[in-house]
Amino acid sequence: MIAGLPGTGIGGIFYLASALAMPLREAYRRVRGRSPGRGNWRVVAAQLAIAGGILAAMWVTGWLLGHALAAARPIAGLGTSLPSGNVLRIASVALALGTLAGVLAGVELLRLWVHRGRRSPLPKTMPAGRADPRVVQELRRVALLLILGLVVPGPRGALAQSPGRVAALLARADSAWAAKAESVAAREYAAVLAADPENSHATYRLAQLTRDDPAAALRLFQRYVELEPEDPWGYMAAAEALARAGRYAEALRSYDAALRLAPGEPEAVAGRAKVFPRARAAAPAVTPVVSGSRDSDGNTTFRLGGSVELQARGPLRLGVEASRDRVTDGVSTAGLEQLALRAAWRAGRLATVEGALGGTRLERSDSGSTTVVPTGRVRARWRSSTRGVTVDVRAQRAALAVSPLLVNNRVLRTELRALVEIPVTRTLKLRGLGRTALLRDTADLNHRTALGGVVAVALSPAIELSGQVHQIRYSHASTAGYFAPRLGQVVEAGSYIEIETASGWLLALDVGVGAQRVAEFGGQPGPWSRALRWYSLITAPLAPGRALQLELEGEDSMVAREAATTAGAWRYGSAALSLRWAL
Amino acid sequence: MLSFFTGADVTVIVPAFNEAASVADTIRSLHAQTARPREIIVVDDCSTDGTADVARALGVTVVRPPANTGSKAGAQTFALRHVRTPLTIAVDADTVLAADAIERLLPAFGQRGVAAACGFVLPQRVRSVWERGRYIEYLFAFTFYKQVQEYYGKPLISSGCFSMYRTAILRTQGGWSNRTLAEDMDLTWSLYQAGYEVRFVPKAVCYPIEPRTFRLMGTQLQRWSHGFVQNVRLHWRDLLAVPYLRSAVAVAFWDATVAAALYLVALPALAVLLASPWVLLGYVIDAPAVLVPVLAGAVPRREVGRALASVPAFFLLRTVNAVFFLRAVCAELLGRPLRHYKKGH
Repeated sequence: MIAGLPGTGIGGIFYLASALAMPLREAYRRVRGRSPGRGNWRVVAAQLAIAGGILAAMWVTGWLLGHALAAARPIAGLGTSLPSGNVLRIASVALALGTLAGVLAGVELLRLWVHRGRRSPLPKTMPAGRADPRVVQELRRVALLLILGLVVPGPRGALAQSPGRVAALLARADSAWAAKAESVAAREYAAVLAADPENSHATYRLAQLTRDDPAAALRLFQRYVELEPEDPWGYMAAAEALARAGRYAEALRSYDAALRLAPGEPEAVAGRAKVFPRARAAAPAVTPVVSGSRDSDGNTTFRLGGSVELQARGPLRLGVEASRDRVTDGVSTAGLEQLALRAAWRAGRLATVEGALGGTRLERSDSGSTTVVPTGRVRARWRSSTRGVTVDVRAQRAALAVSPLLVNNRVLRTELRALVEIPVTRTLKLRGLGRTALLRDTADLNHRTALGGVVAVALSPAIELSGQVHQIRYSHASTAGYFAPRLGQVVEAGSYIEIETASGWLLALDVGVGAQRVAEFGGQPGPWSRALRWYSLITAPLAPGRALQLELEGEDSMVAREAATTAGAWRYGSAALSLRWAL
Repeated sequence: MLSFFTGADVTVIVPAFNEAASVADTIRSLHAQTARPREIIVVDDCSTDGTADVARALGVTVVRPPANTGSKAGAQTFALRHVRTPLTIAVDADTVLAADAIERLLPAFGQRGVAAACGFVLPQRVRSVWERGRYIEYLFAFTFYKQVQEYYGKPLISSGCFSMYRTAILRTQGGWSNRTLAEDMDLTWSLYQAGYEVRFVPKAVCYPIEPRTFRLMGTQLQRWSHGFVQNVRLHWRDLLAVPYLRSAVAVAFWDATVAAALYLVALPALAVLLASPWVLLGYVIDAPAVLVPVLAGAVPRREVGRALASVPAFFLLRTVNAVFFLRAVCAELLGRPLRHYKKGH
């Protein structure tokens, strides 16, 4: 719709004056570093050209009219000649400008009157009897409007000192914001807040501009939420700031508040989904675990355990983990008890180090005697960039405990492994894997080496297909309870799928289907036989910071890459259920 | 937090009451968008002419309130509950969009503070004298006034016939209000008062059907003029805190009242007093000045001939406009407000 009468009245003069003022304003903005660039100058030039055309048209009209009236004089009944064209033009322009100035001044006076209550108290030191300088400034500005008939910004210093001019300050601040002149905008918004501490718009913008000081930004966003409790964006911004400060649980609550006000708002849903796993990871939490496994040799394990994680403080996170395992083959039963202190250190966005150090108490099945051995693990991951080279190095010392025999023989594996991933293209990755392990038992020391190569194609960030080749070697056969062939070779096609929903459900599936062959000591490689493995992880969010996690694993192979098989033909299945309860 | 949206982030609401004749063109133009919206919702406001069937046949979602909502604002707000995208477009059922109109509007929402954006409006048909008058009015206003308003960050109105809104903000405003007869102006000013920004994107063009007869034009002008006065009454106090907008509204109100009165009364009175018909030239004295922005808008569209042929109609429409604005001011101030929403075409 159109408001007013285009072309006539003072509206035309107002927009003409506005257009003529554009280059001055733009130059001023440029000098102040607020202009968004060349695009604005194009708009200014176009409107200035139109304004120039209108002025020329007005001049020609006045000139023609003057001559027409001069030719027609005297107008009947008037008896006197009309003024010349020039005088007429000047008079009409003066009348239009005067009217415009009067209207604009009237608006300014009305604003002063209506918003007079919003002025802050005068300084107590102001001498009695002297006029309020802000009023003087306002009156000067109104007078200026009357004289010029234009909207002329008041002096900067005066504006900064006048709470009654909050709106003008805000306009300046918004202009600076739009022009991406951040330091200027921050200063201007701060000035607005100094004059009007409850100005929510300025609060929000200043918070956005205070990203170098996350604590201050958070305070400002929280203040904005107080001022505008119905605005979902405030909660979302506060949530983001809380997440940056590592206060994930509060961030989730803030996102929830935003979603209550704006159900389904994608930014809130996405933000929440992003924070959710971090909240789960960072909160102090207790995680009880129950797990069990069974293999084709009749070995069964049952584990009851759990961990306690302390709240992450900065990049470091500490915790304790403990478990008790019972291992039985139907005839005898051995036991393990593990206790370890663990720590995780995030060295940056792309590097982490985590580890656990403790001991494992092995309880023999035959005599019931126990032995405590030191165990632990360290893992360091580093990535050159989000899509760059990845290096993953692990060292681990652990007891092999899938059968009572292995426990009785106190078989300990000390292993060092390294994985390097090189992205060739955006979707194609090459991985190289090397590992070397010492297997020590009560009577023997064995050496295991494994090399592998993987070509992986990422169909999407969540789906990957791969072709893999692995080779495993032992230095000699063993009677300690684990299967140690001279050589094991695996060729496999694998796929990895990870699906995460906005509500926090996660399904990860790692499946490998292939063939393998084994050469025992003193023998040639046997025939290729099938090799299957699968691992799945399902995480079900119960509430912020609380999640139920189910891990299912299976293997059908002669020589497993991860586990220690107990025989040349081995099928294995395990399930683990854990509940992470953030406190 | 800067984000750039696509058509998949957009739901279009098309309020329609007995729009069977035009809604198909509107829907087809939405289907032809370079940035196709995720969903098109036609609100069949209890039409009796088969509007819903036409819309359904074109494969869009049709929703129907239990009873006629009584206004475009009511129909649009009814549909807002069905929107599941971050951006919402309101398009009149008699308006077609240029193929890239939505795509042109989307970048405006890259800035978080932007709550609404509107485009350039031109009549779909330019045949009758009233359509021609409106054509010039739009060419003038959207080439000059609105561009200046945009430069100063305060487009006066995010046009009701085609505007895009951030859904969450729209919801916090309660959708479109029917407390005035100009819901687009009401919403735009409410957004400014809430600290949000509104953008005008001249390259996003839409083409509504304008009233072709005096009766229809009168109905529309009555609604617009009363809506303007109602909005000034409703918002004046808060508008005073919004720089530039307060000045723009003040001069528009002055022109709609004092200038209109002078225009309708003073010029004829002076002509009689001076016994000179030359005084009546005052009605078209600004014709050369009006022609400048009109031609600036028409030349790139290669519509110079059409524009020149339509200019006389503009002066007729302006006079009629002045009558309606003056009547509306008198009626609203004398306590006879117009409340009943009547379609203008």
